[in-house]
Amino acid sequence: MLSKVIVITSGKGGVGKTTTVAHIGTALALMGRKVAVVDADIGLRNLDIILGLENRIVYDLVNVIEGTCKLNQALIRDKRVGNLYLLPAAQTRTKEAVEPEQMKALCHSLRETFDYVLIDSPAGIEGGFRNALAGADSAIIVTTPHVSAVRDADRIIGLVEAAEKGIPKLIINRLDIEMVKKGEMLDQDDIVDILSIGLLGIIPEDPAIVTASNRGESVFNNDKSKSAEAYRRIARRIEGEDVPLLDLDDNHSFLGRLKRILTTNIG
Amino acid sequence: MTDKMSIAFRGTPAGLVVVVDEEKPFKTIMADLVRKLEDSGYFFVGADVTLDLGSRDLDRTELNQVAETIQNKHGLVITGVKTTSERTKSAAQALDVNIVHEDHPAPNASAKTEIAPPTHATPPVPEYPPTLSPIPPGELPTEIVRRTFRSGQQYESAGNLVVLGDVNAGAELIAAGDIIIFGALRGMAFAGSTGKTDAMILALKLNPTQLRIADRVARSAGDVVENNPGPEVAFIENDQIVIDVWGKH
Repeated sequence: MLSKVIVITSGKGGVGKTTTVAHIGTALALMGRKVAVVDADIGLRNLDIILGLENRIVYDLVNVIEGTCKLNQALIRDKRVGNLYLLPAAQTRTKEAVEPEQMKALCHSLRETFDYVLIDSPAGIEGGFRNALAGADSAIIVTTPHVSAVRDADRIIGLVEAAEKGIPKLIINRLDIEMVKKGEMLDQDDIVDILSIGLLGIIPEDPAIVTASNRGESVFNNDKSKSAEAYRRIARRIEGEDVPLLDLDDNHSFLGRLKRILTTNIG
Repeated sequence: MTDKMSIAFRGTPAGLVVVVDEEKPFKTIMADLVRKLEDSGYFFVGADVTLDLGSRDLDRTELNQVAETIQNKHGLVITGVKTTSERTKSAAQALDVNIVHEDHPAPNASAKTEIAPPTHATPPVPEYPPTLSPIPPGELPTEIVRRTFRSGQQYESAGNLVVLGDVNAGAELIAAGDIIIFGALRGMAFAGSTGKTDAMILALKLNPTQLRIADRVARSAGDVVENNPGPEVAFIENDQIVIDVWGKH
C-alpha cells in the first residue's frame, strides 16, 4: 500500500494532540501496520513520555536533519507494540532548528519504511506548525468541546486548506456525555455544524487516559475501555473502513433504546 | 490611447445615452464603438439606448452601420436618435428611426422603433439572454463568493458581496455595499464600508460577533440564540443598527 503521512494538529494547546497521536499510532500498529510517530514539537517534547519511551532517547529529529545520526538510529521501537516507532523531538533546541524543506525530506525517507507516518504538531500557527504541516499529505484536527478550542480549530482548518493539504478530518476529544446531556457543553452536532468538516471520531472524557498517559502505559490493555474502542474505530476509519460512531451514552432507558431503533429504521 | 474616446456611454434619468463625438472621423468612431462594446462584455445587453449624434452629419449607410453594430452585434436596443444635423435627420427618417428632441425624452420600450433592418434573411440570435439589464447608474456591482470563511480569514469587496457558505467567528467581511450570506454569519460583517448608510447585512442564520454598517457598530448581545428565526436582516434605522426577520415587509 501507499504510505500516508498525516499531521495531527489543533491550533490550541492542551486539547490532546499528543495523546491522540500515541493512541492512533498504537491502534494502527496493533492492526498490523508499520507506523512511525514523529514528535515535531521541538523544545517541548511529550510524545516520548506518553509512550513511556523517554529514557531510551539517544538521538532525535534535529540530529537526523543535521546529519549527526542516521534515521534508523534515532527511531525508537515501542516497548509493547513491535510495529510502532517513535522519532522524538529535540528538547534542547527550538523550532527554528528545522526548515519546512527539511521536514519534507524527512517525511519522504520515512515513507520508504512505514505504512503510516503520524506527525505530532506543536500548538500555534507559526513556524513549528508550518514545519509539521510541510511533509504531510493530509491533516487531522483535534478539538475539545470548548468554544476556544473550536475557534482555533477553525483557524487551523483554514490554514491547512490554504496549504493545499485537502480538507482535514475532525476528532472531538474529551467529550463529556453527562455535561452535553445537561446542555453545559457543546455537543458533536454543534461542533460539526461550525467547522463543517468530516468527523473521524469522538473520544469520551476518560480518567483512564490521563492515568495511562502519565504512566506511559497503554489503554488498549483494558477491553472495556470506551476510549480505547474509540481510538480503534478511528484507526479503522483511517484504513478506509466504514465504521459507525461509538455510542458514548451507556445509560439508555428502554424507551430511549426504542426511540433509537425507530429513528434508525425511519431515518 | 492618449486621445479621448470618441464614444461615451452615459447613464441619464431618461436612460442610457451613447454620445458620439462631433469632430472625429467616422472610422475612429466605429473602431471606438466596437472596442467599447467588446470591453463591456454582456454589461449592456438588452439595454435601451439613445444615440446622441450632436451636430454630426451621417448619411444613411453610416447610420445604418452604427445601428447594426449596436443592435445586431451587441444586443442593445436603439430607441431613438438625437441630432441637430438636417442630413442625419433625413438619414434617420429614411431608416425609420425615431428622432428624439431635447424637450421630448426618448419614448419608452413599448414604442421601440425598428431600425437598421439586418442584411441577412434572419436576424442573428444573441448568445445571451437579452433580458439581462445593465446595472442602473449609481448602483454597485455585485460579487459572488462561494466558500466558507474561517477564523482569521478576511474578504473585502468594492461592491455588494454575496457569500455562498458560512462566515465563522473570527472571520471578517467588508463590503462597500450590501452583504448577503447564504449560510451562517458568526463572525464580523461590515457593510457600507465607504459610508453607505442604507447598506444591509442579510444572512440565513444571523449570529454575528459584531455588525458594522457605515459608521455604526453593533455587537452581539452575548446570549446564544437557541431558536434561530431563519433569515434575518440588519440595517440602520434611527441612527442605529437593528435586526429584523427577513421578508416581513
